[in-house]
Amino acid sequence: MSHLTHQPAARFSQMRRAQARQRWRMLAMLGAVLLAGVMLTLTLGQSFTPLTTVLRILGGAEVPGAGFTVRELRLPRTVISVLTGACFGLGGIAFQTMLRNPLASPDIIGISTGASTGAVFAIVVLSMSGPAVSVVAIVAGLGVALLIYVLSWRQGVTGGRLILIGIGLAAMLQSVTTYLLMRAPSWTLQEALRWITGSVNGAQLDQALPLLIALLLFGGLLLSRSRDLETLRLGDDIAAGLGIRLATTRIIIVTSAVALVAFATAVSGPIAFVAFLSGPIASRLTGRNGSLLIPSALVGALLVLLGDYAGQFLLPARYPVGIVTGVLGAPYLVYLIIRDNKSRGTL
Amino acid sequence: MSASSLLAQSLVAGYGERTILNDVSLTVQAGKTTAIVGANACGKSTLLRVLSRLLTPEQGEVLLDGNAIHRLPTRRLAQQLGFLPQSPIAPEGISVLELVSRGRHPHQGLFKRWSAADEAAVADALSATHMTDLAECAVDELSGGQRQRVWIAMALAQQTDVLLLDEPTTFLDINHQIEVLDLLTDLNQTRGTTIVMVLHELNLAARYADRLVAMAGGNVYAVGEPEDVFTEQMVRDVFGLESRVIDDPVTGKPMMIPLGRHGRAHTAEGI
Amino acid sequence: MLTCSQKPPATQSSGVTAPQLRPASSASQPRKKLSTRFAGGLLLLALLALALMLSVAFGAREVGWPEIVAALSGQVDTIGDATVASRLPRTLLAVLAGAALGVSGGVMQGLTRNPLADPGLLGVNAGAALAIVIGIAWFGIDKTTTYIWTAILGAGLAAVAVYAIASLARGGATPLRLALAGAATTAALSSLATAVILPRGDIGGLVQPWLVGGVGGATYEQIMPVLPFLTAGFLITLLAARKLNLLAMGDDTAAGLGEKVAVARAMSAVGAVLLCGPITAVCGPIGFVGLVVPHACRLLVGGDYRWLLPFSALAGAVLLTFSDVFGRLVAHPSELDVGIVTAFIGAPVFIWIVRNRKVGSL
Repeated sequence: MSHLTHQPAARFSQMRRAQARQRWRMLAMLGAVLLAGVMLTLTLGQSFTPLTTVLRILGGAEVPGAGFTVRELRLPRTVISVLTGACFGLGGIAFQTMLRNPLASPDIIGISTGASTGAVFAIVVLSMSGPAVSVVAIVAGLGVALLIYVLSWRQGVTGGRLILIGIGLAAMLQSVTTYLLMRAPSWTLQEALRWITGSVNGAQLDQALPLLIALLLFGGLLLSRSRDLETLRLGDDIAAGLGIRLATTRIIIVTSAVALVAFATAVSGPIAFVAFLSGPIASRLTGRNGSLLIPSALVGALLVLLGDYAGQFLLPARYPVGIVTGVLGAPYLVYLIIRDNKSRGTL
Repeated sequence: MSASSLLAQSLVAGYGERTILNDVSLTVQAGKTTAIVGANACGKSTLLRVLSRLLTPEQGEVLLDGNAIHRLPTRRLAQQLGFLPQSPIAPEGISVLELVSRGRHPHQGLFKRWSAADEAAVADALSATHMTDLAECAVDELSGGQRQRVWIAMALAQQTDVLLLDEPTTFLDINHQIEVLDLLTDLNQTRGTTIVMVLHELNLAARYADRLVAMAGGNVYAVGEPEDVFTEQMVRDVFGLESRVIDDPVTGKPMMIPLGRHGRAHTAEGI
Repeated sequence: MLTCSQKPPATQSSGVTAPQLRPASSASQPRKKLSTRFAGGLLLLALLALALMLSVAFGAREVGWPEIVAALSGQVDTIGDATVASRLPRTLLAVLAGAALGVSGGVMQGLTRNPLADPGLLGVNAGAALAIVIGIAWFGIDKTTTYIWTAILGAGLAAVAVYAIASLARGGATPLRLALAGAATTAALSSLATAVILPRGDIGGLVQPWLVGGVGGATYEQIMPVLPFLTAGFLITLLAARKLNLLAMGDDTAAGLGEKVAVARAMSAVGAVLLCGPITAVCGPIGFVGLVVPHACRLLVGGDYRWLLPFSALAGAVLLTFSDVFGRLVAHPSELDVGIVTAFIGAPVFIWIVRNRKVGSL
């Protein structure tokens, strides 16, 4: 036999290194595209501001005219888009991986809707604002997640049942959100759309810090569990056989993912389908071997950033980002339904 | 190679209200291949799930080298005891190498990097299952028999002394069934791995296992070497089937031929 | 097949012990006794009468019996009389909407052999809403009759699209696929509707009724144009009931028994859309009525559509009228739209149905 088969271990190590290199290349590329997107959204809007001017403004210099546009209009929007997108991307892929089903993302099974209902309830009924809204949104998101899990428990949880119950709950919560919004004293279509389809209109820079902290904290928690998450893809029984404590791992992953989604929802509303789309796109780009957490976060950030940019400047009228991603995501969902997949029995 | 002993003591277990195992005790002989047989819903899979700690018994315990497995740290148990469920599903697009590498999970810590020992264990597992050349393939492109070999390779990479398998041959064509069972016998003979498997097919169980455990109604009906356990009486009591048990012309092990309502005419003089 | 799918294994055993099993109707549920149906019908009628009385008598403003009697006899002299008089068209609309949605849901469940079929969940309401929004924004439609035609068109297209998407996958339209296709279609259609409205500040206020369904503020002028459509819808679905019984046994069996499957399907679908489209045009989206009502009626009369559909009409009217009264009382002195109330009644029923089905049939 050839020397290759003589030394399979060395060959495998080589394969792994090549794979890792490719992953890094892909990550670097995604990062570069995201950076380019950030620059685009900072420099080019209704007017063009040269990159050097933008950098000077960000450095603190006063530039008449452009200063306000960049610092007050473009920067908050860009920062919030990137952060919420990353949160949705991470939350989505965590759920999809754990439940082994691309359809089990928080925006389809009603967790985003729950967080959104919580946020609207806090604002409209409890007259709250700021971080308190996030807290209510997170509690509501976790509550809905728990409710879905408990309701779909019947000698174990199956993906199909969980997704269906999530859809049912989402339909109910959606009508609650709409009702609360319509009863709100200052009902505006723009404001309502934020909580129904998601929007980064009116983003404030001071919303960024809590979002960033949440992203670092809960994203970090998910990353520390990325190996467990990958093993969970093999099925619960196998994962347990490989020494994973299922209950603990699940609680950590669900809590982190829901917190990420809820924090983002409290700021931007449930931006349609970002959590659902990020993971599958990331997996197309970087391949199925290895963790998809960071690629999904990057893809999510890109989706919101570019979706919002398209909604603002590339279409005949100004649309919130949720409308753009909503129209984008639906065909993919349809594709997933149509595609015959034997490995997923319930679909 | 020192093999581990596995002992079940008066297990009572079930799902929710439904009790499936009533007071089951069993000694699994170290370094041997044991097959659990029985009719559907007799509790054989439940027994395997309790032995592998996927299910916590209501009463009784399982001892691995004298330690109760339900009190062992999860990771440590996974270093000593491997489990392969019935027809596992590979994630879409995952490669053979990647899937087999997951078997090293219990040997890795939060900060421990992939080591030469890990790589050696994976290479070893792939070569033992004759999958080395297919390491780069995606699992979902393989045949049923190859796929099952990949899963066994994953369990081998785990490097445990005991390997529990729930119906490793279901949904496989007969040639792939033989391929998988031959492979398991190889592992048992060359590595001394203790193998416990649930098997559907009685004749294959008798042919490949050193010991048979026949279960009926949530109890162990009989345990022992196939020659002792596998009788027409056992087939009648456990499966409710009239049969003739003869010697397998190839291996000399016992082999069952069902009578059926329409088979009787030809064998009538034999009864 | 939906009635049997709730407890598939029981089917065979009950077939042995229940010799009165009706071969031509649902192969699954034993025929309910005539007396049960009779009693159930009487009960529903009594409930409907009660609901009508409550709907006229209760609301944001308290009125006395003399005023109710006066208003019913056509007098509108006092504010109380006028209040009661204004509740009459609203009650009528609630009855009509409930009956139409109940029957429409039952037909959709039979047509798709799917227990989770409902005009709201299947994206049919969203289709009607989008069609109306486009009609208003681009074609300047403003008459109720035009709204209705537009809504029927939108509802029909959405229904066909959702069913086609779910059926394209191998293995056909399972409940999960149908629900997901409905959710995807709803998301896309709502996004499109919003995209149509947003640039048009002048029509922004017009969307509000299509966000949450309700029967408040109904007038006879709105109701009259709906009546011909509903009448046609009821007639067609009743004629299709026998065909639905055959379809319930599977396309192949139905064809084997001499039924033209395509004709049966088309007829039932047209009937269902004629019922739910106009209602959405007038009331906005009212979800879950079409889901809950047929299931409840199945417990009462069994799976024979010739009985199930009329009972669904009756029960739907009862459910929606009661929900409307409840919405008026619970949020006193304000009102809760009936679409919210039905969502709260319907979602638990939806979950109950999902929980009680075998995993494999999801």
